[in-house]
Amino acid sequence: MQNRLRSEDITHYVLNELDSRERLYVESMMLDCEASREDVAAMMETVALLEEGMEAELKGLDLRLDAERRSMIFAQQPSQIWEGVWRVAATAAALAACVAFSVAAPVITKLAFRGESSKAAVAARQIITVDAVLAEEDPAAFPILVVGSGDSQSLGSALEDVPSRVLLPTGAVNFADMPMPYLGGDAN
Amino acid sequence: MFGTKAQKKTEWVQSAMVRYEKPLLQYSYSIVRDLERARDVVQETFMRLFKQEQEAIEGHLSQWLFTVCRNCSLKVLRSQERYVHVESSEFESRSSNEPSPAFEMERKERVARLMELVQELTPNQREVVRLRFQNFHSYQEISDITGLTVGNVGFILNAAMRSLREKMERDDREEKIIYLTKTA
Repeated sequence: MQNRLRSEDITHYVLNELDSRERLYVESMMLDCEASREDVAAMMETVALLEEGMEAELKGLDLRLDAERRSMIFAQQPSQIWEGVWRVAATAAALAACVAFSVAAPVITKLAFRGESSKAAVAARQIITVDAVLAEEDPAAFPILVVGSGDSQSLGSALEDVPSRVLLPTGAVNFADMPMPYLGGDAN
Repeated sequence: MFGTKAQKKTEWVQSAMVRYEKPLLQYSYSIVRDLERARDVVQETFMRLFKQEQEAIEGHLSQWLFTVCRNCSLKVLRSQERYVHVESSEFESRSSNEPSPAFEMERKERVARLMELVQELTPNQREVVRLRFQNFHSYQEISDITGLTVGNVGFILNAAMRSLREKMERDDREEKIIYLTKTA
């Protein structure tokens, strides 16, 4: 039974491209196979001749770049610096824009929504009567309590002068802006 | 800050040139067969290296350089549509003119004949043989440079070596026949 190594195994072995386990296998096979040993010897001679031939081909050639070519390689240097400068500047500008936007966003949003909340308030405005306030029909609303003569007609005209309820976008009630209820006398 | 970075880049490219200038010139010359064009190719290779970020290439600098060099060399070759064949007479003219023992002479003749046979290999085989025996790249490095799989590299190299050996042995047999015929 012929038990020879494959030709690839011998080539890979000669070129030292086998791992330790494969190498051990090939060497163990070679012990009992004269033909494999001769094959390895012939392949090693071919390798030596090839390396010698490759080296001889280049003998006498000046394998170096000339000074002009070298200077052209490193002549790219200034543009590399400017490229870095522009890159850093662009990054800084983008960061500054993000910070400015984050600072200005609440103000912009407030201005945008104030118009909306005013329109909504006008659309939803109802004459708040004392009875409705006392009946707590809209417990979420901050009532504008007008204590007056109790005359609903005068109450209505009085209510036209009273500013409507204003709510900020966050839902919080700005007490500083809220008109204090008129409690009569010098309570305010 | 920018000066330091530029200086580091320059030093990096310079160290790469010290290490790879000659091997790259060898490799490019083996493809384009013209020293000046090989120098142009290697110049282009290092100019491209200068534009790269060091961190992106660190760890596989050799493969990157040889791959770029290969692509540039093939582009030069295609643009000129020229295949330069090394004539045996040209190769022999480079051999030593010093008188040598018969054994050395015979060996030089065998080497010359083998290099002629290398030119008769297929382009793939020729390239893999040169990367291995001229630039001493491993199977993995040749795979990275050429885009072939490691298995393919081994297969092609084995086929090339076997082909070269068979032709050399055939030439040896033919020489013996000729010799015996003459002496008969």
